[in-house]
Amino acid sequence: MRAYAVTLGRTRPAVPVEPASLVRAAARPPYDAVSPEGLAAVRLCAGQALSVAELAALLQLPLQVAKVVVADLLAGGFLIHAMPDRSADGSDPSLLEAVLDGLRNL
Amino acid sequence: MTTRPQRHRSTSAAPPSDPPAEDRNRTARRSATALGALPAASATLLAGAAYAAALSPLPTSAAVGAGICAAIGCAAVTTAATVASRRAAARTAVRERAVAQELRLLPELLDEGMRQITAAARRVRRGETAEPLEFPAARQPGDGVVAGAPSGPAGDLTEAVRRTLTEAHTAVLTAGSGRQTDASLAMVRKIQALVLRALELLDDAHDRTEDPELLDVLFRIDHLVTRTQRAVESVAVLDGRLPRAVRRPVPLTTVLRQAAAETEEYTRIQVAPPPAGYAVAGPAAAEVIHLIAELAENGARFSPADTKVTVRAALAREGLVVEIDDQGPGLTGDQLEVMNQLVSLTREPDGEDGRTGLAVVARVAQRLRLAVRFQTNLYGGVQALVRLPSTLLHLAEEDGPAAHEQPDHQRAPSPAAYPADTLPLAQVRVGRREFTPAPPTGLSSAAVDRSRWGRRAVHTGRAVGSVPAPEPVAEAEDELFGPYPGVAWRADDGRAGGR
Repeated sequence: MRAYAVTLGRTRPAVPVEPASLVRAAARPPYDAVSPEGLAAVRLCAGQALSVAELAALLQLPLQVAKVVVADLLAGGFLIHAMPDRSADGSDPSLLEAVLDGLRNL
Repeated sequence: MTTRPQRHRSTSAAPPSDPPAEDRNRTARRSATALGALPAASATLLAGAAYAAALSPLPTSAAVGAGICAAIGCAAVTTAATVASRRAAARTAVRERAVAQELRLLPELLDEGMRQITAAARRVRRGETAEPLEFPAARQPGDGVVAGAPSGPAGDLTEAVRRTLTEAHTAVLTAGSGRQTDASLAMVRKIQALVLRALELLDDAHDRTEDPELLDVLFRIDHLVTRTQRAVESVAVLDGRLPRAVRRPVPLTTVLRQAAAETEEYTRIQVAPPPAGYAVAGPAAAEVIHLIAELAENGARFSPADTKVTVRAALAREGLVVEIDDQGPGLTGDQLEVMNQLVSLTREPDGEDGRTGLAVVARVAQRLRLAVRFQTNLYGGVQALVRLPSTLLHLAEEDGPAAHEQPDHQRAPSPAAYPADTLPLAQVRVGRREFTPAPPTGLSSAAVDRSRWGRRAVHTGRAVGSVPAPEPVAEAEDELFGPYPGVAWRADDGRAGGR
């Protein structure tokens, strides 16, 4: 499948999604409306949270295409955002730096 | 009665005295059977001779002579058959006259047909474009020659002769195109290689941008290159060659979606999830994709831009039927008939009426022995039906979006349904680790899709190098999707919290 066919030519995510956004499968089964790529994404995210960048790699999709796919799944309620652990202090500069490094390495 | 003197010539078929009615009926039936068998033999003969005429390096006259001999042979047998069929049909004078008239036209038909085939062979030998085959106008209905006649054995015979002539003519053209395109084949291969290279580069470009506008441009280019690929493949198909080399079975979902993606207005093509677990055998898959793409594009082109063309696959006895529906203004019965004749190769294409697509469909259908049929659908548009025989299909335990349609696990559970060498294993490297998802899954099919279309090698390391490997993917899938549905949907108890 060519990448343009996966999203039917769409290049903009339906809802905001970042490469580092963590998503996991929602507590509802996917339905027929989900594309094969979307179904595969939901399966990968079942029982664990994955970042959009990871999903792109696992599904062998261009990152932007994976963002569109994941955004569709989020909008459809098939995936949900997996919130990071709130117990950590979000204002810790070293943590932010580590996150920034991680993002740069993506 | 004109039949009397002739009867003595067909000694075996005609008893000396008038037989009882039952005997006559039996004779008639036998004649009809003989007439049915006749065209098959003569078709082979004619086509063979015509083919030889086109290919032979000898002077045309010799080879065409062979073809004419075959035609004469055919005519001779026809004459003998004429007698029998006349006898059989001679119950009423009216009917007899009609049959006689019908049969009298046959030699003319044969003569004219062979003259045209010979001329076509000459032109082909000179490297020119051959004229399409045209039958003598006297045979056209409506000119009062044989009112309501071409039914029964005589009509069948005439029809068979026409078919034979058409086949012979097609054989000549095919042979000619083979000669002509030997030189251009190298060029086709070169274009195909360039197109593949362009697609690889586009894959790479897709990976390098998150800019929606740039990606949009890339998508447009990608679509154009993909369509170029299809156009080049059409040339290969018309030349009697495979569009592209595929070894592994391709999931039916991918076949249908890829076909849609290759059409001009791909966003208008709606692919319904096909029955789960089916894959099309590798060597046939490329051609099936090509064929469905032609039909879908045809549907889209002849229907309003704000309507969809739907592609569905349904189980049938001994295979699958793919239905391609458009919501266009539709076609008349005659037009549909012409299209059906074109795709079943019982009609010679006119060449210049923009029906290359149909010619490609016809060629693929012939090679793979697919039945293709056009009919009117409930929208008033055209429905194209393609029957894929089970010999071209693999049944695999593959979960697709349509898996929910069969909640009672009627799908073949045997892992052996997918032979090991055809298993679309997706080897994905994550960080420094490697794992192989348990096939066949949505992941593996997505992966094979991409490798299947000449895609890049797996690239992942950089993008996910900083995150832990999601190793339990296969397990999680098994637990969740093993028996499905009715299994606990375990979404929120995973390891995510520890991340």
